[in-house]
Amino acid sequence: MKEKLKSFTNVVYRNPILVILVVYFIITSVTIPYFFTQRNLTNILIQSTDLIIISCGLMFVLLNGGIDFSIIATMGLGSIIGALIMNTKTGLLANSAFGAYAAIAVMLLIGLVIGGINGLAVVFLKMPSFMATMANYLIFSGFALFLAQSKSIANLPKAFLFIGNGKLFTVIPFPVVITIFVCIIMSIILSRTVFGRSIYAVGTNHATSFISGIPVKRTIFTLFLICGLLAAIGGMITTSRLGAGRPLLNSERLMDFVAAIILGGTSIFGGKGTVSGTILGALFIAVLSNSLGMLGLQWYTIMIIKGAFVLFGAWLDAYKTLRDY
Amino acid sequence: MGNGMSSNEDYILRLENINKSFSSIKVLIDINLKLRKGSILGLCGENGAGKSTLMNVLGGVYKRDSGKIFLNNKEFNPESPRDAQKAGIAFIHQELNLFSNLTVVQNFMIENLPVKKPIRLIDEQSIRNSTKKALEEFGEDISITSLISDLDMGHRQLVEIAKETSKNARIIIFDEPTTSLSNKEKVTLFNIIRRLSKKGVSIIYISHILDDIFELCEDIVVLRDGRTVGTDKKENLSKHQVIRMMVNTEINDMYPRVTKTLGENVFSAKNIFRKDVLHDIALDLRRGEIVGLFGLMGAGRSELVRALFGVDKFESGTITVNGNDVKKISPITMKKLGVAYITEDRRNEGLLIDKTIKANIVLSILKKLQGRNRLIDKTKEDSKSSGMIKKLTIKTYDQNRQKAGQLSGGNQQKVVIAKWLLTESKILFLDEPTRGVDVGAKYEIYNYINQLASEGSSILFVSSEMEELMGVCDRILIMKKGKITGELKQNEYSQEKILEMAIEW
Amino acid sequence: MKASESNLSNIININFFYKYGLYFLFIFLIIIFTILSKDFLTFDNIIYILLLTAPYGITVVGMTFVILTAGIDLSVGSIVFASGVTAIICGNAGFGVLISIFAAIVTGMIVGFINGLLISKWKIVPFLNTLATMMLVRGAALLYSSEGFVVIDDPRFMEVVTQWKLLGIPIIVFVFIIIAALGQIILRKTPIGWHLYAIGNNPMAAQKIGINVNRLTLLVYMICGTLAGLSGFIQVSLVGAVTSNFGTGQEFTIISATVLGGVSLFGGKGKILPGAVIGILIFTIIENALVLISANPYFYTIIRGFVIFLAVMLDSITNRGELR
Repeated sequence: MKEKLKSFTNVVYRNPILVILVVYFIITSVTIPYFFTQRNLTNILIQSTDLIIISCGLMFVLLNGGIDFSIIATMGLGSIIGALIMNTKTGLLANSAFGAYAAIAVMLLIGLVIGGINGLAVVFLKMPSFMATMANYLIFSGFALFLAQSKSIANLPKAFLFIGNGKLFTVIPFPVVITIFVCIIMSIILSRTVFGRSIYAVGTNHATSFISGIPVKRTIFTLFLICGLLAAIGGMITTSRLGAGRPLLNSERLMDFVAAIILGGTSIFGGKGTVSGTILGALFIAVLSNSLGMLGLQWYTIMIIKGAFVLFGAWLDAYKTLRDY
Repeated sequence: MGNGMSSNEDYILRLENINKSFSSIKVLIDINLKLRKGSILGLCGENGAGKSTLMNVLGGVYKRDSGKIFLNNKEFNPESPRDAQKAGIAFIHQELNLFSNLTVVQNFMIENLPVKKPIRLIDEQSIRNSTKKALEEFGEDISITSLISDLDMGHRQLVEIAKETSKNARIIIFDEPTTSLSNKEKVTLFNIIRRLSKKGVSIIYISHILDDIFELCEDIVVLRDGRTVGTDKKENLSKHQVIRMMVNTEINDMYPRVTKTLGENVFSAKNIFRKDVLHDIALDLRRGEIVGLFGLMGAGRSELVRALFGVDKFESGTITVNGNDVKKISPITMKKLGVAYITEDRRNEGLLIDKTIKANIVLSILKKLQGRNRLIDKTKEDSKSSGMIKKLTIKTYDQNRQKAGQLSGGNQQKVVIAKWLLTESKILFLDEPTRGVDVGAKYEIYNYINQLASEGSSILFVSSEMEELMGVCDRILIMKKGKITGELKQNEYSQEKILEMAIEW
Repeated sequence: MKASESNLSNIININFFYKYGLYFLFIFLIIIFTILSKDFLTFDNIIYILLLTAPYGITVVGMTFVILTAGIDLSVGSIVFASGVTAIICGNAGFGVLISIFAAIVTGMIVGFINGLLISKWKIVPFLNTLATMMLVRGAALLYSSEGFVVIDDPRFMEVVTQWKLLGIPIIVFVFIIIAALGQIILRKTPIGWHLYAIGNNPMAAQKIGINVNRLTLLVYMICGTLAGLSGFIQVSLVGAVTSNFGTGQEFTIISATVLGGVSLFGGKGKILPGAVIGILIFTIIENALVLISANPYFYTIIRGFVIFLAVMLDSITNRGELR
C-alpha cells in the first residue's frame, strides 16, 4: 500500500499536468452540463489540434532556453499570402487546380524562411531570441497587415478547407489526423534520433555538447527551422478552420502556446521537455478555454486564469531546477 | 623547528591542529601555523598540498572539522567571508573581485560606499582621494577614471591589492599574486608588502615561486599532502631543502606497470601559438605511449590541451594526426580522427549534470547507435552503456534513472571516461583525470590508462600531481609560462628535477 | 593551419560605432527629415515630439534600471493600460486629478512589486515572469473596467497634459526631464546606482561582496512599474479614452529604445542621459516624420521592427554569453 502511494506521488511529481488535466476534466464533466457530450468533446479536440502543433514547434526552441515570438507573424503572413494565392475570386492561382497546393507549399516555405532568419540571428549574430524574434514578429506582421490592408481574405478553395474541416473516412476529423502524424514524427525525432538527443544535450549544456563533438550551432539553428515549420502547419489548420486568411492569425493565442509548453513540463532553463507533455499541456489549455467559456466567463477572465497557470508552471520549473542544485 | 623564544603574545594568528575533509578525503591533517605580528610568512606546497583549503578555512569559506584558530589570542570562528573581513583579514585572490564595467574609482569602495549628508549622494571626492592615495603608494601610473576592462591583468591586480590594503586590514593573505605581473610590477608589489609589514600588518604570502618567497618572507611554512612538514625561519632553510620538503619521498607502489613497445608517431603538434597563453609548443605522441604533462598553476597546461582538441582557438601552429595535417581543428573533427578529450572541469564541460548516466555515456557515439532505419537502436544503446558501466565498475542503482550529478566524484569521472572509451579513440587527452577522485578509483583509472596504452592507444596525461605522472607516464613534459621547458625520461624521474624545471626561480 | 578569426570589430571598429553611432544616427535622421519635410524642424513640431516622447521616455527610464541588472519587464504595456484605466475610473468617480495620478502610480508600483518579488524570491526567469504578469494585469484591468473601454468625463484630465505649460512648453515635458535627470543621478551618484551596475556585470561577485542583490532586484522592478504607471496616466490623458488594446506592444518599443540607447540587454552597461533618452527620441522622431511625409501607416511597424533588430544586433555582436 505504502509502495503504491509512493509510486503515485512519484507520478504526480513527475507529470503534474497529467493529474491536473484528469482532475480538471472529471470536475468539469460532472459540474458543467453539456460539457461531456460527444459534440463538445469533438470540438475541443479539433480546437486543440493547431494548439498542439504550434506548441510542439515552440517547445523545440524552449528546449534550448529560448523563445520565438515570430510564430505569430509566420502564421499571419502565411495565412495572408496563402489566401492571396488561392482564393477563388481574386487569387493569383484562383482558377488553377493547383492553387491550394501551391499555397500550402508557400505557407510552409514562409515558416522555414522566418525560422531560418531567427536561427541565423541567434546563432551568428548572437542575439537573444526573445528580442530577435520580436523584431521579426513586428517586421513580418507589419508586412502581413500591409498585404491584407488589415482585412480578412475569404473564399478559400475546397481542397484547402478540407485541412481544417474535412473528415477522413467521414468520421475522423482531418486536422486530428495531421496532428497525430506531426506529433508522432516529432516525438520520434526527439526521442529516437541523433538530432533529438543532440537537442537535449545542447539545451542542457552547450560546453559539454561542444566538447563531445555535437554541432551546437547547427542544432540550435535547426530548432528555429522546426519551430517555424510547425507554426506554418498550425497556422494552415487555423486558416482553413476559419475559412479565411487573416494577418494577425492566432495572435491572441500566444499565451496559450507558452502556457501549454510550460505546464507540459518543459523547463525554461533548457534541456527538459517532451512532446507528450506538451500535448497534455495543450489539451488542458483547450479544455480550460472551452469549459470556462461554457461557464460564461469573459475572455479576459479566462486570460487571468491562464496567466496564473503560466506563473504556477514557471514557479514549479524554477523550484525544481533550483532544488536540484 | 619553530621559534621557542617567542611567547604566544607575539603571534597575531595561530592555527592549531586544523583538520578538514571533503567527503571522506582528508585535505588538511593537524595543520599548525603561527603568524608573528608584522611579519611576512611564506606558505609553500605543491598543487593540492592544502594551501587554498587552509586559507579558505581561515577566511570563513569552509568550516573546519576540528582544531582552533586564535586571532590576537582570542578564539576566532569565522562563519562567513564577512566575518573574516570584519576581523581585519583581507584576501588577495588570483580571481579578482572587480567589476569590469566600472572604473577604478567606482570599484574601490563598492562594498561600502561613503555618502555625504543630507541627501546621501556618494562622496566621490573622498573615494577619489583615497583611491589616488592608495595607488600612489604603488608608484604605478593608473588613471583612476579608466574602466577596469581597459586595464591589463597586471594593473587589475594592482588595483585589487590597493583596494584591499586600503581597508586597514591587520592580516593580508596573498594567494599567488604575481602570476600576472611584470617584473617591474612585482618589485613595486614587494616594496608595498614590505612597507605594510613595517606598519605592523601581518602577511601570509602563498606562492610557488621560491625565489619570491626567499626574497620576501621571514618565516616559511611548507605543506605537503595536507600536513605541515616544515616551519622555520628563512635563514635556516635553503631552496633545495624546501623543494625536498614539498615533494614526497616515499615511493608508492600503487602504480601498476606494464611492459609494452612503442610504435610510430601518431600525433604531433608544431609551433602552437596563442597570444599570451601558449608559445611555440611542439609535442609528439607515439603509439602506445603515455606522455605526462606537468606544470604549476597558470603554466598553461589545460590551455594547451584545449587548443590541441579545438576547444579554444589559437593563432598559429599545425596539428598532425596519423600523418595527416588537420585542416579545421574543432572537437567534431578531432573526434572523427579518433582523438578523445577528458576535461578538467567535469561538472561544467564533461557531464550533463542533470541527465541520466546512460544519456551521458552514449553522448559521444550517438551516430554509431543508429540502426538501419536511422533511428537510435535502444537495445544497442542499453548494451553499450551497461557494458561500459560493467567494464569501469560505475556504481549506479539504475543507469536510466540516476543522474550524473548524483554520483560521487570518482564515478562521475568514470562516466566521462566511459563516454570517450566508447568512441574507440586511439589518442586520448586526459586533463586531471584523477582530481576529486578517491584513492580506489584513482588506482582503477591508472589501470585503464595502462591497459589502453598496452592495447596501442596514445595518451597525453595532464596533471598537477607529479607523483602520479611519475608512476604512470613513459616520459614527462614540463610546462612553465606557456612554454614546454623540459622533458624527462623514465630513468631520470625525480620530483626535485620536475619542480626545478616547473618553478620560476 | 588555424585561420585566426578575422575579427569583425577590427574592420569597422565597433567600439567607435558603439560610442558615437547613436548620435550620428540621431543627427542623420534629423537632417534627413528636415530635408524631407519643412514642418519637421519647427518649434511647434519639436514641442510636439517632446510631448509624444515624454510618456514613453518616462517608462524608458524605469526600463533602464531593469535592463541594467540584465532583467527585462514585458509587463509595462499592460501596466500602462491598467494604470490608465485606474486613473480614469478614479477621475470619473470624482476623486480629482491628483488622486487619480496617485492611483495610477500606485497601480504600477504594485505590479512592479509583484514582478520584483517573484523574480527575486522565486527566481522565475524575468521574461517568462513578466510575460505572465503582462497577461494577468491586462486581464485584471479589463475585468474592472467593463472590457477596457473607458472615456474620461473630467476635462481637467486633458488640461494636465496639454494646457499646463511653463514657458510655452507642456509641463509633462519637464516632468519627463526631471525624472530622467533623477534617474541619472540615482544611477551615477548613489550607492544603489553603482551597485546596480555591479549586479549587472557579475551578480555572483556582487552577492559575495555583500550587495543585497534580491532587494535591489525588487527595487528595479518597482521603479519600472511605478514609472510605467505614471506614463499610463499621461497617455490616457493625451487621448482621453482607452480601448481594450491600449498599450499593447508598447513594451517592445520601450525595450528597444532603451537598447538602442546603448543599455545592454546583457546588463551592466548604459546610461539614461543621453543614451536611453536619445533612443526613445529616435523612435518618436521616426514615427513623427513618417506621419509628416504621409508614409503608408503599415510601414510604421515594419520600420520599428527593423530598428529593433538593428539595435539588438549591435548590442549582441560582442555578446560572449550563451546562444539562447
